[in-house]
Amino acid sequence: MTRRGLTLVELLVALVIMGVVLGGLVGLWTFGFNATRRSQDTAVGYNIARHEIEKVRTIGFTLHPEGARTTGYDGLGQPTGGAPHFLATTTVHTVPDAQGQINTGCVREVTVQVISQDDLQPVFTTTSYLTKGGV
Amino acid sequence: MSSGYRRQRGMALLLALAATAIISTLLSGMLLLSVSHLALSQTNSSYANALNLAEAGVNWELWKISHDPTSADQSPVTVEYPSGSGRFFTVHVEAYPAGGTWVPPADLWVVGTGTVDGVGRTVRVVTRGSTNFFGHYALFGIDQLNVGGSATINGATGTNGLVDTNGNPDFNGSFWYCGSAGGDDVSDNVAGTVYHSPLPEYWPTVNDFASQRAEEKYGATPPQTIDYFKNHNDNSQIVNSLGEQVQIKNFAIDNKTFGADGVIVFKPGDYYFEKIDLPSNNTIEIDSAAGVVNIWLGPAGGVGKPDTINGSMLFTAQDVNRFHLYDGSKRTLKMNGTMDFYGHIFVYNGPDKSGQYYGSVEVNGTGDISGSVIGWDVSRTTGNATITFQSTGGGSTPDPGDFWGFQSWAEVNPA
Repeated sequence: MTRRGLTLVELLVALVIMGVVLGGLVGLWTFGFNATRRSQDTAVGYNIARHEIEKVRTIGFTLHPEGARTTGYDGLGQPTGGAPHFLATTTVHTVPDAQGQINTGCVREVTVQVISQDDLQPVFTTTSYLTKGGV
Repeated sequence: MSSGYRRQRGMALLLALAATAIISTLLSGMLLLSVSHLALSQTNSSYANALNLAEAGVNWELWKISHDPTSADQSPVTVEYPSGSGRFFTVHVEAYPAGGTWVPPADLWVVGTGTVDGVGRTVRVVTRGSTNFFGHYALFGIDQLNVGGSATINGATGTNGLVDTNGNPDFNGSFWYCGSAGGDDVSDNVAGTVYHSPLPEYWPTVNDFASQRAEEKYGATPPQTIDYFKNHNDNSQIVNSLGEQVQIKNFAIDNKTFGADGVIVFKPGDYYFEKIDLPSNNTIEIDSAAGVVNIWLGPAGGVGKPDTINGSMLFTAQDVNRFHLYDGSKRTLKMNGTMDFYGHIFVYNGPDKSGQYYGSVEVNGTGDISGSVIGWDVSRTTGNATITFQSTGGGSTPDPGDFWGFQSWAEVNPA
């Protein structure tokens, strides 16, 4: 009987140790899973942002409207009309000149923010300048 | 048996520890992979951002030199962008293709480096030398564009203001409604595309041109106005057809200016007048074959009767970039002649004391204008002249409105 009791205590101790360790490991696993998902979203996110900047350039420095627009993308970074995995908000803002005027002689600022719809956190944000005759 | 139990004592704990160790090892590997993947992704993200920053730097520099080529950064400058972000671009210009100090209006390299979280990327862009400041416009009314009769416009037409058409003009090019432009719908008269740009088109003023020209030619300290040319001009070089000097009185050209031959000749130079009333039986000859001729009509904001060109103008060269007619006054400039005109007409100045811009030009003749007509208010009320934008030429000393455009792009240090 004494030997059986010892085995039960021993088993309980083992279970407690395993529980504590595995609990920690589950936390680590969750962290790893989120990190992997985050890195994947970031990788897709900066490609979406580049795509959005090229779209602005295609429309052209002069013709692109002022203000913000939002486009939905799927998990692979393809534009989608359905439920998006990412929302890319592209904002074009003309910086007034020294006299406070806005015209084609000003520099324009384009900002792209890509937000994952999983956690509604931005995965990539970038800003660049546009100018007449520029890149 | 008792010794066997003793040997098995603690086995559960050992097995638990062993299993934990194995699972921990596996998960640690996975975790390491995830973390390294995340780090790689963030590095790539920084690379992508650095490229956008490098291009931002190139565009920032192009914007600067488009307004003032002398402000070009011949050595690298670093700018935090956006401000407070901890991200930077560094940019400078070099002569193309040999490197070294760039002298406008030659072609140039613009070299931009973006730096994000210690990651840098550099792009180098070959940039075209100065282009004609009129861009692609044959006709542009900054505040108002009134086109009537049976005018033919070859090239782009545009306005930042009000469009008013009457008659049946032909726009054989694109038409641009810029900024808040509105008024008549010209689409039925446009052979090309009708554009609606959210931004008003930028134009320097006659005073801007005068200031830069005064600095180039006379070393005047900017800013200057067109009035500077009242005391610094080449009016004394005006001759008749026999090469004899013509006296210009009160900065006026009228019937008293002309002799029996009825001709005055402008050699290359800068000329200043406060009145032009060219009689229909007289001729102004622009000797543009020998160089660039600039005529400045002042004073800035000056009022009075319209300046009228009823006679003819002869040009010894058909290079439109060798003749400029700048009107910085508030008088109306009337082009009533029948000549074949080669040059640019620019009638936009200000602001005056009340902050207003001004300049009015009418093209009423039946001649052909090769070049551009730009004015605050552009009216074309009668006649059937043709205005044709010429894309050739350029490469001269850059004007304030010249823009530099990139030709090719290359990354210097790809990741």
